[in-house]
Amino acid sequence: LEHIKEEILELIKLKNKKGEPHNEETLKLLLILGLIEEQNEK
Amino acid sequence: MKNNKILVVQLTRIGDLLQTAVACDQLKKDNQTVELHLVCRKTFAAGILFILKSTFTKIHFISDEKHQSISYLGLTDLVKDISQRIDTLNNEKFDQVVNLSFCKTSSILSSLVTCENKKGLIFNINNPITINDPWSKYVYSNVLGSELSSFHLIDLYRNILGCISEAPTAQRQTISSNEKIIIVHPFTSSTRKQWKHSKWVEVIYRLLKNDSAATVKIVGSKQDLKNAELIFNSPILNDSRSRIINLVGQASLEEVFRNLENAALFMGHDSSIGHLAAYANTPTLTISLGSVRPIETSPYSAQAYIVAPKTDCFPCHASTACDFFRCHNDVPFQLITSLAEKIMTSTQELDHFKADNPFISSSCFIYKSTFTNIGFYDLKSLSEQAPDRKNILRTIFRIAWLYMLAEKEEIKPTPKISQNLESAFVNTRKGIAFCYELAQHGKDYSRYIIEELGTNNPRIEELKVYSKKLDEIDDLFNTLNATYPEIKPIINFYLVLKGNLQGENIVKISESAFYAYQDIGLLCSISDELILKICDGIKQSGNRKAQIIIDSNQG
Repeated sequence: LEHIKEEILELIKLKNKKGEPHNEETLKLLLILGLIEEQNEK
Repeated sequence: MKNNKILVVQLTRIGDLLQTAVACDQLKKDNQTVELHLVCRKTFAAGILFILKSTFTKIHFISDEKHQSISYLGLTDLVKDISQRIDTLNNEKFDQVVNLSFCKTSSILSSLVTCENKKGLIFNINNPITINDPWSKYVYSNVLGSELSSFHLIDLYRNILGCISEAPTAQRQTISSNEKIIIVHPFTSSTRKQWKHSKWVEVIYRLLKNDSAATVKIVGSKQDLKNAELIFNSPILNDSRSRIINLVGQASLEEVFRNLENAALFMGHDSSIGHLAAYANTPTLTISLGSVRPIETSPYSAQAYIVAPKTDCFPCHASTACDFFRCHNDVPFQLITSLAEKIMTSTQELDHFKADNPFISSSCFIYKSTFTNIGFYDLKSLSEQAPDRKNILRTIFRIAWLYMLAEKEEIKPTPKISQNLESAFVNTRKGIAFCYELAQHGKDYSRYIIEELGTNNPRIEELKVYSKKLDEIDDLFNTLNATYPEIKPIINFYLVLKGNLQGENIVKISESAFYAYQDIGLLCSISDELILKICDGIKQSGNRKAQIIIDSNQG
């Protein structure tokens, strides 16, 4: 689980480094990240 | 017809889903042709599908069992899975998306659904928090950031959804059985919101001892098994155990609901079962503890009784560290037993309650739910005790919000306050006076910008000066928030308004800012006028008004 979270964060960071705004792809990654994190909280 | 196919986003827990269903049921009554879809998490919805299916035409899951074993899926598969779910939603071609979750994940999901008309929190590329409708702005600024929120969540949901009629107040049919079944759910999602098992043992012991016709059914999930055993196996209950049925971890939510339908009373803390009881029209007795805000999340029915401690720090914030739980001790079990017995033996709804021993009720507020003349849920005190400062402020802000957000007026008796409390409001009025002054300056500088931009040759330097002044006003609002925490509801609302200014160009944005300042000024005026009215019984209002103006000038 942590591995997937790290992978997502890396991908989003990479995108942000290029200064690009969020697109559909990164929004989906953020959604997955949120779902995983909230799943953990429960 | 527009907005006929609506997607409701609710990613949070069972209780929130139930409350969403109640609000959506009303929307369906208002507009019988509306087609409501729900997007939620299967984990939370699975147990209450029997209710959700009667409300929603279609239920979409954004996550399910697959995501519980998420570690077995690779990221590529996960993205593919989410994409398919979003495609399914987009194929529905919704007229409106309403996000009632108010969490980041739900805002991202809302932004991924293609639709022109969206309400609630939306994730935006340029501004992470985008909220377009006024009631959602209220929720984001007050429910999440202040302890003085004035409305029940279902009323907020109803208004975000655009319900027009008053809240339904179904009355319960009489139960034919002579057996008095009491459903007890002594568990919550957090230890700060629930009593230790020993207090529940005392309550159950007394209820069964005092009424030989009573049976107690304890309900809860598998996670509550250990605590349920502690209650059920307590030696104090040895003689009455034959009249206690432990359903914890065994009964499904649907079975619990069927039990509630035939119960004389539901007793518990703030939890999803309380909402289920309200849905079943069962009278409820809720003990609100810890971070629970009774007005926001108590069972939404006309037969809800609530006991809340008067503890200074109640309600606390879920993240505030607390090992002592003083508020738990401030609610005596004797009071709960006595009130429960009174509710069950009374042929009519209680409009007054006086404990035999006044000491057991002095540390608590005892409320009963009611629906006001405009159909909003409210809590009415059952005791003669005067409301505290927080409750008075909540009432004041409630009237102001209703006027501003819905142009509605609620008929309410003027709360009586003591002289001590009146002096405490002097400081609140000072804060309101500063806030009003800032809003007036904000209006002025926004107007100067609009006027300057309307000239043939707008002066850039002047615009910079006005813009800088507006930044200073923002800083001062933040300072006020720290200095006068009791006016946080107004300032938080201002911050949300300022963060969501509408417009494609500087003129439109300045106009939007002007109206934001105007709204804040209006909120301040109404709130101050109400405080004055409440304090009127003690002094001449004119003298006090003068005092406030002098004080604020000194500040």
